[in-house]
This record gives sequence, C-alpha cells and structure tokens, in this order.
Amino acid sequence: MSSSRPWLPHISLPTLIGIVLLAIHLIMAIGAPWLAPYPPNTIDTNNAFQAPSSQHVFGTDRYGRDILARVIYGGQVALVISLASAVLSVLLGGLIGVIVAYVGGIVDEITMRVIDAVISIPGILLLLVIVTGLGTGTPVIILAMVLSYMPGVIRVIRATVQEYVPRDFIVAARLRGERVSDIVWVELLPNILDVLCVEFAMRASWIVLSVSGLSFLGFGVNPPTPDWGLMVNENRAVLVLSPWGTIFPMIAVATLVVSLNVVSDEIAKVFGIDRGVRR
Amino acid sequence: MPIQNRRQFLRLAATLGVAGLYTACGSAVPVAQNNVDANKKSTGTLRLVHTLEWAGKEVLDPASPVRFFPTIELLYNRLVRMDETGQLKPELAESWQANEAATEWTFTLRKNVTFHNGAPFTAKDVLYTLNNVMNPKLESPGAAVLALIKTAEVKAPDDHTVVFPLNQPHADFPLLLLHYSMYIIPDGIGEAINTTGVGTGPFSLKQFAPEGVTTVVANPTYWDGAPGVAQVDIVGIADAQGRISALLADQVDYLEATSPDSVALIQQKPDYVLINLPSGSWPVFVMNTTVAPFDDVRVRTAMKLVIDRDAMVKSVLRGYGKVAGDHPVWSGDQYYQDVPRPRDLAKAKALLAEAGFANGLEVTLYTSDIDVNMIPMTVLYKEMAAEAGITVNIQQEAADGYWNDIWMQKPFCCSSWGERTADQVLNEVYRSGATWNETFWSNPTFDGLLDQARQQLDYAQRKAVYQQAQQLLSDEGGAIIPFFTDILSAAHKRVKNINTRYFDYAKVTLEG
Amino acid sequence: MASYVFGRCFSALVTLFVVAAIIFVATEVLPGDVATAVLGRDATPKRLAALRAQLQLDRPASARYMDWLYAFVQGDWGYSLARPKQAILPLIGERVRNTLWLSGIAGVIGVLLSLLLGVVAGLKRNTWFDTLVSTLSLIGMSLPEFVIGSLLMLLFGVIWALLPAVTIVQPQATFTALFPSMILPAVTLVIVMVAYILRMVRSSVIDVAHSDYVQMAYLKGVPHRRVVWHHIIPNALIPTINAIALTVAWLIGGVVVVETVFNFPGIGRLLTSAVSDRDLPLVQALGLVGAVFYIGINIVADIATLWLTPRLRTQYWRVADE
Repeated sequence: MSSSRPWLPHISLPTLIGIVLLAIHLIMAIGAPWLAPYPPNTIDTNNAFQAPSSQHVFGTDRYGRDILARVIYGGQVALVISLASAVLSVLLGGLIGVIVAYVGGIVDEITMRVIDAVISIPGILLLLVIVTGLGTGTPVIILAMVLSYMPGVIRVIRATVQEYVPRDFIVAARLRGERVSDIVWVELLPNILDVLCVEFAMRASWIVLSVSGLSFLGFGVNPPTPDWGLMVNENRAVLVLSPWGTIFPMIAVATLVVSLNVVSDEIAKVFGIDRGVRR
Repeated sequence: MPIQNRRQFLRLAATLGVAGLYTACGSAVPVAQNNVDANKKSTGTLRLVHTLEWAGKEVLDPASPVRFFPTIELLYNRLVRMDETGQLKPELAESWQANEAATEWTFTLRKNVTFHNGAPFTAKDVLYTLNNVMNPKLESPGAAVLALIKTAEVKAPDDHTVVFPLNQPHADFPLLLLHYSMYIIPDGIGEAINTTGVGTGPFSLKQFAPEGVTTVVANPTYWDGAPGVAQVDIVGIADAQGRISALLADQVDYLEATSPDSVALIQQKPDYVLINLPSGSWPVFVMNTTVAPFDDVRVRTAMKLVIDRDAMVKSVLRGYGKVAGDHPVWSGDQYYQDVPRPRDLAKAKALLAEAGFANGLEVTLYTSDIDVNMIPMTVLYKEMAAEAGITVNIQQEAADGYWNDIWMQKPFCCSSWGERTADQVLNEVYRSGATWNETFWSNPTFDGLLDQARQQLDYAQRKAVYQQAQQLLSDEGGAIIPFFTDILSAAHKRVKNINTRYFDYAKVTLEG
Repeated sequence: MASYVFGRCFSALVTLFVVAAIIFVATEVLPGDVATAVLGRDATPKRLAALRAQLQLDRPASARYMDWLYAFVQGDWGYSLARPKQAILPLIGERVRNTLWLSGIAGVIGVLLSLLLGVVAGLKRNTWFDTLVSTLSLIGMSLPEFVIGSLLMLLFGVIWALLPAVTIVQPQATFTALFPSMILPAVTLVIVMVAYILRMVRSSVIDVAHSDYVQMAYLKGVPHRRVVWHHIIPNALIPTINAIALTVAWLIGGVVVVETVFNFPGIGRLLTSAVSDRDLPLVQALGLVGAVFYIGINIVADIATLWLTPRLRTQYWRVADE
C-alpha cells in the first residue's frame, strides 16, 4: 500500500503521540456536551476547592465548578480561537501575499515596507494596543491574533509565489489570456498549498500560546468562558493549595501546542519545507 | 499590570465612621503632651510593599490624585488621627472645639513641632495645606470632602490656632480632617513636595523611587518620640502574585490588603501572621435607574432578590466579609441600619412577571479586574440570576479607562468604593444630582431625609433619620450591594504593633 | 560589502519611519485618549477639555506626529504625557539597559546551550539523548512563559528560597546588585529560547550530515572528528543564524511577560503601563526601541551570514542556494 503513496513517511512514535493527542483534543472539543460530566459554568459554592475524587475527577475550582468539564469545554474555546485566527491569518495573508507577488511593482514595494515595519514592532506591543483599545472578548482576541500573525504569512507566501511567477506555466497561462483569478486559483494555489498548511499548523500553535499570555496579562476572553489561559490565571493564586485548577488546564495547553507542533513538523517534513521561528 | 486599584487604604478611608466617635459640641479634647523619650532607639529596617497603583506616576503630595501610599503615612501628620481603638485623638492639633451650632470649629495646634527641613510647624502650614487641597488645578480627591469649609474665611488668629467656618453645621467635622489629603505640608513648598516629601512625620525621605525602592529614615527629633525602626523601605511590585511571593520569600515584611485567595497560603507559613480587619469597603452592581429595564423598581428588587449573599461571601471573600443589604453603610458605622435581604427566587420571578418579563430578562453586566472581587462576584451573580430566568452576559473591560468609558456610561456595571461614613456616602453617591450618583437615582424623600439628618443635633434622632434613609435606599435604589469586604493583611511575625486597625507606623518595631 | 551594509541600513531607516507611523496611527484610532486615562473616575467634560488643551491633544494628529518625529530625530524624545516632567530618554534608558542585561545574559547562554545540545542531538540522531533533548524542547516550546516563570519562582524563590523571588532593587541599580534577581527570569527565557533554536540546529545538522557533500567526505576517508568540526558544524550553523536572530529578537517581546512575573525593572513593565495610559510618546519610543533591536539584530545576522558564506561556500551550498 505504501508503495503506491511514496510520500507517506515513516511515522515515529513521538509523531504518532502528537497526532493522537490532536485527535483527542478534537474529539473532546466536538464531543464536549456529551463527554463533560457537568456543565462548565455551574457553580456549587459548597464544594469549592475539592481535590480530585470520583465525583470530580480533576477536582473543583473556587466556585465549585468541575475542572474536568471546564478543561473539556476549554478545548472548544482554544480550538475556535486558534483555528479561526490561524485560518483567517493564512487565508487573508495568503491572498495578500499572492496578490502582491503577482502584481509586483510599487504595490509590492509599499506592502512589503509596511509588512516589514509591522513585523519589527514587538508583537506584544501590537497585541496590547489592540486589546486595550477595543476591550476583551473572543472577536477582539481573534482580530488581534490575525493582525499580529498575518504579516508573517504574507511574507512567506509572497516569497514562495515569487518563485513561481516567472515560471513557464504561469507565463503561458498569462499569454493564453486567463483571468487573474483563474491563474491564482488554478495555477498558483495548488503550488503553495503545502506552505499554507505548514503556516497554518505552526501559527495555530503560537496563537494558543499568545492567547494564554494575553489572559495572563489580564487581557483575555470574558469570564466565565472556560478558557485554559483564564483558568490558569484564575487559579494561579491558589497554586500551592489547590494545584489541580492550574495544572490540568496547563497540561491541556501544553498537549495542544505539542500536537500542533508535531503535526506542523510532519507536514513540513512531508513537503520538505523549513519551519520558521516564532516571532 | 496597569490595574489601577482605587481602594483607599483602610486607615485613611475618606472619613471613618466608627461608633462612639461623636464629640459633643463645645467640649474640648484634653491637651496632649509631646512624648519625646531620649532613651528610645530606632533599630532595624522595615520593608513594605506598594502596589504601583499609579504605575510609577506616584508623587508625595498627599492631596494629589496620584499620592504615594503608604509612603505619605510615614512622612506626614494630620491634625487628628485614630487611636488603636478607633477613637479620634489629637495629632498635630492639641485640642478642638466648636461653637453651639457646630458651624465654626477652632483647633489649637501642637507647639514645638518642626518639619524635616527644620522649619517650625504653625497655623500657616495648615492654611497652606488646605489651600493646596482646594486648588482646582490639583484635582484633589479631598476637595469634595472638605468642600463644606469656607476656605477663604479660614483664619489663624495666632501661630497655634486655626478657625474653620463651615457652610453648614457638621457635628462630626473633625472626622473629615482624617482625610489623607489633610496630611500637613509646609507653607510655600510648591511642587517640590512631590519629590521631597517634607513633613513633620516620624520618618524623613532619603530616596524617592516609586518604581524601585523608596527609602525613609527615622526622624530622631519626632515630637511623639523616635520611631521604632531606623529605616523603612517601600518596594513597588505591581503583580499581586509577585507581592505575595515577595512576602513569603522574606523580601518584604508586611503586605497590606491582599486577596482572600492568598490567605490559605500565608496561613501555611508559621512565620507569618494574618491580620483580618473588618471594613466597610464595598463592591457594587450598579443599575442606572433611568434606563429600562432598571427604571422599574420591581425589576431592581428582583435583581436584588436573586443573590444568595451568604454563598457570595463564602465563595468570593472566602468568608472574609459581611453580608450587606443593598445600602453602603456598614455595621461598624454608628448610624448603621440592618436590612436583611434573603434570597427569594419565587418573589423575584413574580416581580419580573409583573414588570412584563415573564419570559425572562437579558442584561449585559460590565466588569473589570480593577478590584479583586469584581470578577468573582460577577461570575457568581450570573449563575444565581440564571435561576430566576435572568440572563446576565458578562463583558470584561480593561481596567484602565474603566471609570471613564464604562462606569456611569453603561446601564449595568460594577463599581467599588472604600469605606465611608454614613453621612458622607449617602450624600456623595446617592443624593439626587451628586457628581458620583452612579445609579442616577433621584428621590426627593431621600434627599429630604439627608438634609433633616445633618441639621438634627440630637444624636438619637439623627440616627433614626439616617436609618430611615438607608432603608429607603435599600428598598428602592439602584445599587446591588451584596457584601462588605474585610481587609486582609499579612506580616512576618518579627514585626510588632502592626496588627491593629489604626496602627501607627511610628510605633512599629522589629523583634529579633 | 560596504554598499550592501549601507543599503541595508538605509532600508532599515525607511522601515523605522513606517514603524513610527503605524504605532502612531494604532494608538490614535483607539477609543479614549491620555486625558481620559489620566483623569479616570474624576473625568468631567470640562476637566477633559482643559487637560487636552494642556497636553495639546486638541491639535491635529498629523501635526503632532511630524513635530514629534522631528524632535525625536534630533535626540529630543520629549516628555511622558502620563508622567509629567519625566523625560522619556532617561526614563527608557535605564529600563533598556536592564532589559539588555537580562536578554543579553539569556541570549548568550541560550544560544550557546542550544547550539551545543542541538549539534549533539543532531549528530546522535535517534539515540536516547536525542529523544530526551527533543522531547524536552517540545515541552519547553509548549508551555507559556508565565507558567515556566511562575513555577521557577515558586520552587526557587518561595519553597527553597535560594534566589530572590521578585526583583526589589532600583531600576538604576548596578549590574552586581541586579544580578541575583536576573537569574530566574534569565533561566525562564533560556528555557523558551533553547527549545526553539535547538530544534532548528538539530534538523540543520541532520540535513548537512546526510548531504552528498558530507557522505563524499566520509568516502574520501576524512576522519569522523574532522568531518564534524570542519564540514558539518560550520555548514549546519549558517542557515540557523537567521533563526537565532529571530529568536533573540523575539526575546524583546517575550521579556514583557517574564518581567511582569518577576517584577523586573525593564521595558516590559513600562510598556504595559504606557499602553494603558495612552502615553503616546512613551509607547512610540518603546515601539521604536523594540523595532531598532529587531532590525539591528537582523542586519547583524544578514551580514554575518554574508561574511561567513563565501569562505565556507561549498558544493552543498551552491546547490542549496539555487
């Protein structure tokens, strides 16, 4: 079977673990309403700070909310934010990158100047400016993430597309008089799909980390959203006495990032692309 | 973190309302003696921490909106102060008395007191301090509190007497002089006060660095005897978790007003003492009574009835607080009225149905982490209200800009206040048209009661009128006040004389 | 070479100009301004108008921007809006110095450590050492900085009390005074940095070790030690120079969170308060300082690559470059 698919790599144990972890995360997020033992936000002040037990497998937090349920529902939040931001960054960034590379000239020059400038501003400053200005909440967080991660995508995609623009099949398509949109969709897009995939997985993992960093600085999503970063922040003060409120969401963040990293590594390996470095 | 904590420190809350404070008109307080004991020695360095409340913009002008706590407590004196039991006692004043109508107060000042720069303390300095507070350019928070003083007519008949004429009778006027803006600064100091901190207090400034370590040293000639410690370092740490870590890692000795969550951690450490002081500080859900649906008193009452107050105190404050009844006068106040408001979901639902919300009500509640209790109480409120068919959507806003963009702008939001006396708080926050009337509640009967109380010179009758006003506010007003918070502080056990409500930094000592 | 450096520096200046404009626009479109931030709860329309006039906020944004830029270039960075009478240059100066010390220490240790671990892991691919190092780096990459920092603070600062938990010295303290407080934040940064660079180095070493060029050297009978030192390591490091530069530049951002955790008096804490105070001159100055770092590090990396490559250019590289 594998001989007919020569690109199928040998899957190492760490990779397998990563893929399984990502699958578990996806299943938990999608199946949260059936898998979670309790609703994520139901309070029970008589059972606050319970240690893990058969009733509450991960224990309870200061409001008596079930931490397991919140960790499971938290996956929805993390995946929605990180996937939505990553999808938007990659789609918008990819589109802009393709256009400026294809059009070239002064448009390219100006866009890249701006992109270079945005990239050289410390990322955290941009995030803080956006979030303090527009308030917290999921849409603002997604916007902030897209604005700070899209420029990197634009740069990578533009560089990739520039390699293709002078090639014969693009030149031929131009000479045939094909519409620009057709050239982009039919000729260019399939060729940069691999890079887009890597960019997507890589940035999704960074976004998970960035969002939790914002939550730590106090600029995250609205409570009582069961967000992992928010949970770590809420329970950090009682870390010593009631570590489960911090440790389980932390494990959830770490395993999701690990699995996204492994998967992006794997895609990159398959396509033979160098992974970038977090900005 | 840029979270600007507007809580005023307990000992310096705008004015303090503790039972038994009232000084009868015309009576003079006994003359206090200067208490210099040459044998007493100041030893050791006390390390304090401050919250970087103003993110490094702190100044030493005590009347400034960005005054630097707790440093100003170490550098200056007021005319009056609280003793350990909550009784008003003389500080830079020796005694005071009022005329029969309580419209004019005469203060006799302490003699032989000098500022850190060697200048003698006189009545001129008191006048200068008052004028500084009233300077509109300074925007001092004390200006509103002291507005009843006819500033232009304040007189100094001699170097050690000051006469304050008032716009209206005030039987408890000396209490107002407890306000931190009335820390006395020297005549003509100007803006230099911001960084020099010249006062008459037990410590003088050695190094001013709000974002680093501010150092003050013992004033050996302090009129009340040399202070117990030779030096005090004040370290700025903005992160609440960082402050607790600094305490437990023995980098600082005393942490004032920490969060209930940190209590259990501190209690685990045998070297630390937890200091729990009841207070009248209160966070509040504010309904704008002029905006639908909150313009309907039935809706307001329903919103109040959904809360399980005991559960809230237990969960939000970990038990370190007292249940409140939707008015801001706390049980430590001499005019306190007890208004029980047990949870009653059936009645809440009935009231909502009557008001036309039989199928439920949806509201957005704005909150912020500007006060440590705001978010936990909001989260609990959402779940409690849900059981009565009220959907509360929480919107968390950044701490900065909260007072400007959200508070008194959004119809339903959180607010938070430091402890205030009954008279002050009822007038400052609930009288029709008051600048800080956050609920926009306007009730002529209520305003009438407040006027009546101020003019009533008989204590028992005045008390009855104030209590009536509280009951009315609680039943009809737009404030949902679920509890009053205790102030929780922690100290290393080597620090002595720091565990009372009105402790004096000059008396704090280090053991071992 | 000289013209390349010159061209690079010129384009850096253009970028900086754009950076300034972007930060200015970003802070300008935010709701609220410095006047509302300063007055807070005490803001009334009258007071706001007065303060705005005093701070010249009533002038058009473009005019303020040009004035500021002109003065900035002349070395007059102006005064903080939210901190009256504080000149920005000295205010930032000592913070930048502290942050540079912190990230300098973390950078040097982090780069050396990750090169060492990365090369060894790459050469000993699929051994227990490689698996251990790779797994640890994956974990390091997956934990937010504040989690690593909080754990280190709890263990070394509070529970074992070996090192200062938080920094409680003056911003203008000497290096020696500040050093003990720098250890935990630096370790935090090192952990995150090593996790990233190590992986790049490792995969680069693996690529080079499997290149035809290295295989050829083995076939020619060159001793293993010589192949490693003269062929694999130099060639594997060149493509990682840019990755290292990017990671070191990332330090400037990552340091904000770490400084907040440890109360370290660097630019991080100043940045968060400047943003929330809408302290435009301060935000701009900090943004520009950050951008200068980033661009400077990148120029250094580019020049280093250019300088190293011709000497070391080999068959492998010619192929790879095309």
